[in-house]
Amino acid sequence: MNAVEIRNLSFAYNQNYVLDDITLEVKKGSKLAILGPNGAGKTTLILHMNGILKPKSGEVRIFGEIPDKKEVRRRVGIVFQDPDDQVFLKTVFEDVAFGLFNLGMTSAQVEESVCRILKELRIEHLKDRNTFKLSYGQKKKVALAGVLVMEPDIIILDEPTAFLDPSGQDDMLRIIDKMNEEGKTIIMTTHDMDLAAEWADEVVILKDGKVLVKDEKRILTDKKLMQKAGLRLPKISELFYDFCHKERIPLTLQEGIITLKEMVER
Amino acid sequence: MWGILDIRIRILIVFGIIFLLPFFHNLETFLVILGLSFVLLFISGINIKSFFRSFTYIVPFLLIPLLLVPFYNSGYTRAFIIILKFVISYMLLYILIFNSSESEMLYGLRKLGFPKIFIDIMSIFFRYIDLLTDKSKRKLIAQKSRLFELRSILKRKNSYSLSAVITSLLMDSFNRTERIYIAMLSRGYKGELYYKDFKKLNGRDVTVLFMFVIFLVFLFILDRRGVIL
Repeated sequence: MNAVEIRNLSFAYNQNYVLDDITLEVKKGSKLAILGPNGAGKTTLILHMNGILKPKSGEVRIFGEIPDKKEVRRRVGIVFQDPDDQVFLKTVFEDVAFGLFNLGMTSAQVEESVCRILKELRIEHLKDRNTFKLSYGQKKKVALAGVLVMEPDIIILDEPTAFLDPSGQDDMLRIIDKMNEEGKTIIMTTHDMDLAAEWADEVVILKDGKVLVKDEKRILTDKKLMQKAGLRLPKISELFYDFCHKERIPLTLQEGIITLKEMVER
Repeated sequence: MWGILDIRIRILIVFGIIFLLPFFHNLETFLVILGLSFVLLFISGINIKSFFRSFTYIVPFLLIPLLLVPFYNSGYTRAFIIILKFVISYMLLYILIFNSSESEMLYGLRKLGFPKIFIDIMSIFFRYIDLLTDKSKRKLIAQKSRLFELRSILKRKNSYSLSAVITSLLMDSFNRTERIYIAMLSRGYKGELYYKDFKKLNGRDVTVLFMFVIFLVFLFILDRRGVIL
């Protein structure tokens, strides 16, 4: 079953088409990376999936249906790139509870859900802290908690690891993978080719508001395609590009190690 | 003692006294209320020094109305009463704010029926005032790293730089507002912010409020009869 189905979606800001005839399917429980240079339309596309933007033409279906506004925002959660855009209330508790109150939950239910998610993300000690006094990594987690607490089926992350330190990045990916193991569909927009290569099952490459390609992540080793898209190869692939047969270019670090061992043995 | 009262009771007491101040006439009544305010100041655990230090910042605002009072005959008493009203109001608001978190204040005001739109704006303002201050500091530091000096603001070039910083802050705020609103919509915002419910009013809160109302009515009657002290 498809979690998201986008058919012939077009969207324009004042006659300037940002998305042009996009057709895309995202399988339930999959990990999809949306790649593309700046201005390719990544953020505009994800805002359509959450019902924030209405398409000029075409449609977006969530689990086969066109849900109403409340339903789509409950089922599809977006974690924005800059946590300061998302975390806007004074205390962590209030901010994480924001979406739940909008869903019409009672105070007792909200309290329980917020405490549970804070514990799950290991940030329960931040519950009563001023959101402004948090570190960037902590704010990112609070922003994620504010979305996860609404228990969406699809989680969209806009550059989730941007500006995080290595341990913060690992932490974020651990949480995202855990959500995926629990059956949630994860969609991530990123510029980070290495992250997409390591993390995703499938990738979509956007360019000038159009889907250039949607395929398994192996296509990230196609140098011509990446150049056409205004992207680059993942570092590991770049390293081995001149030494390996086209079909055997390693994509991930693990593949790189295996390839290197084979080359040394030979 | 004061801090453990429900926020609604604290707001009612403080605003109740401030609201009634213009209706009192006798100097003695104001002295009684001033005494009561000092008692509240002490039991709230406020450092008297820091209170008076903060008071000095608003003294100029007190001097302006005083200049309008004629300084002869009863003019001195009127001037003294104006000072007392000013000091009492400031002291009570200081006590209220000192003992309450921002969330508590917003909750209390909301429960007491303040317009929701004001509460929501205040709530967002409380959060973003920190962010805006931080952003301005960062922008100034970035300017200073390129030899901008705030001291020399009178120089045309520097005042131009500062105004550019302020303009960019305004533009940043505008853009950020757009992004925040989108992020709020994505979490189901429908034009209304909700807040966690605090405890319900207990017997102690109601008793204190009742005693306070009795005290004020009693004070009001005595003030009208002129029998205080």
